[in-house]
Amino acid sequence: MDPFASINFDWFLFGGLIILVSGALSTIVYLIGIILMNENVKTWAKTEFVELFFSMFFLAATVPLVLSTVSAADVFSASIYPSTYSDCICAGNCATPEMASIMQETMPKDAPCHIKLAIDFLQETFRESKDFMKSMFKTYVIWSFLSSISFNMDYVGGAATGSFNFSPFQPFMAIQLEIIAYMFDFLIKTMFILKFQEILMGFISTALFPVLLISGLVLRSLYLTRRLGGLLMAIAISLYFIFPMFYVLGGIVLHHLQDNGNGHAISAFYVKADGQLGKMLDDDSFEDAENLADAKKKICNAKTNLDIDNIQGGFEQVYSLYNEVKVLDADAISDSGWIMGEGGIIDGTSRVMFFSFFFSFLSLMSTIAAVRSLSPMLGGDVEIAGLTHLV
Amino acid sequence: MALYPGLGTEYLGIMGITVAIMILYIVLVRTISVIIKRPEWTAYSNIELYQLFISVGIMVLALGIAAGTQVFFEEALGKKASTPGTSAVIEAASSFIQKNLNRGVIPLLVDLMSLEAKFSFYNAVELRTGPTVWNWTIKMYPGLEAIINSVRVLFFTVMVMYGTTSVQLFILYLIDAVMYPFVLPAGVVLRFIPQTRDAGIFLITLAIVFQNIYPALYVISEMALDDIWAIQEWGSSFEPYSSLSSSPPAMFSSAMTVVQIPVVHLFNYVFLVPFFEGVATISLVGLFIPSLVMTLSTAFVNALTRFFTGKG
Repeated sequence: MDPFASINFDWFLFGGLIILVSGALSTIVYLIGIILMNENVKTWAKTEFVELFFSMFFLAATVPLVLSTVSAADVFSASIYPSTYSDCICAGNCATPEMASIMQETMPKDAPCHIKLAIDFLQETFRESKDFMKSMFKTYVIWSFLSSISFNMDYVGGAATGSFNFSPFQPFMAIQLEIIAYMFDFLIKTMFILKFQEILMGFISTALFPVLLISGLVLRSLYLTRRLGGLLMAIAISLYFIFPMFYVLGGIVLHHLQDNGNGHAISAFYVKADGQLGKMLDDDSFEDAENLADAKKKICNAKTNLDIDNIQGGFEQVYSLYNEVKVLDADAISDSGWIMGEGGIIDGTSRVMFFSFFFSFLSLMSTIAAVRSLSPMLGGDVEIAGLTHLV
Repeated sequence: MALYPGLGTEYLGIMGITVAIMILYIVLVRTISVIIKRPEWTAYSNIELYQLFISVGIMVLALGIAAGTQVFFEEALGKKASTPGTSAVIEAASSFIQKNLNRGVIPLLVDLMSLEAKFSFYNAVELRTGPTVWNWTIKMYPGLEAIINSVRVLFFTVMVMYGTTSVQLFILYLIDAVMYPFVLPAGVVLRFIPQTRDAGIFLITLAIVFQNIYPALYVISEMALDDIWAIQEWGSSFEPYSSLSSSPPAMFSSAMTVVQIPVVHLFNYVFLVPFFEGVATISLVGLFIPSLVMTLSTAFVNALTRFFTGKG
């Protein structure tokens, strides 16, 4: 694993040259200080020599320091992460060929273990959100279908003609449908942010870290840009080591919940909620699709399933359908119902949002805090153009 | 003869006039101080004379940096700007943003719009069945409202991205048109005047940083993204979005497939995932990189301003 693989020029030589040039300029300034007998100029030059010594040290020690820190971060993160996953993600020892194949396809190549584990957390949260959303969507489809059923009757009598229309189920389902649609909307946005974070993590690992660190090393060697250089180095180090660590923590929590439940951390509660719609999360995911197909068949195939001889018979058929697909759930909006109760869709959506935002918030805050404390140590600025005011 | 593209001799004239006025001012103060015997005025004129020399030095340095960086970027990028008078690095940064716009944002918008239209069409299909006088009406493809709403969310997110990308492009054009031709000379002139010395320094650093560092960071980001794409074996260079209209699975390529969409994907909204990825990748270029570039550029302006003013 080479964190600097994406840098295609001899940055070490370039950094060395910059330090040499800077050293030569400082020497000239020192000589001028001697000629002018100006102690201030001499002191400035001496301070520059000390700073250049540090720059030289940072340049020489960058590769071994980064590699050893990456190793330490990898060992640390792999040891605290559930071994089933860390062994597969970091060492390639996967329990099943399918798992190995997924890891091969989804994990960025040439990334260190702690970055891969952070990405695993984001991918796993996305996958769970997807499962949860899938079950919610299926519920929505069935409800939407039943809600859309309307009864129409045309009449011609005397001078007046017209039609009588009404939707028997719509009034009882409108609010539930609205809630599901609202949660669905939340989930879509959250999943988009999850995906963004996953891509950002790969970008940090492959591109941002080496570019910022090397730019920082080079800029730190010049008096003019020393503070900026130190700041860039601090940003690079914090983004590479601190930022992913809180996602690793999130992964530990997520996998712990998965392993102690039924394989789901977010949607498990939805399964727990009650007997009917929660079943949609099971592997037999076509069960409800068949229900819908049956329902449609019963409506569409009027001759066999719908009593067309009298209106009452038609209503009875539709009412039986209503019961058959088990949507007549008066307690849906109660404390224990599948919408608002524990494990309901609001609860599930909140869990998705918790896993999506809480750990990223922690990561962001701790990264900014790390930059603030690390930057002065590396001779950089404390302020990041207003960002540091957040912490 | 222009010292560098976009800055003509007329500004050098203004700078010369400013220097002449400052010399006159200093001579006047010094003469008055001698006449009325005010040693503090003499000291003041000495300080101003020293500042005048510093200002001339800064002027030479600023113009030198301006000319030097143009040459440096032309050499580093291996090409000159296609339009004389424009900056090569700004042109390179603009082409990166335009690539994101033309090969990312717009095709994704078209795909999402197409998807929204098709789902809306299917959402309106209803079946009416029963005897002639009374009958039941049902939706043929129920539940599509949620998908349509999701597609709209993605669509409006990409619309925002369209706006931010266009703004970035406009900012680059504005920088090229304003920073070296106006802001830099204005900064140099203001540096000569005692009351606006700090403002002058700020404008000089602002011009240098936004003309060079700001677009250069975009170019570096593009190089980094190219490397990511190569390392991950996704392609030879960065592609913001692979339109589903032109690559497998060609969901929208044939009428037959289009007809099947709601049926095939009735319970499988997972087909939205490639759009998530597309929007996320475009967000990286449309939101994250600009904010990073702006943050680093501002930090650079602060660092340079502090250096030139000697305050920090």
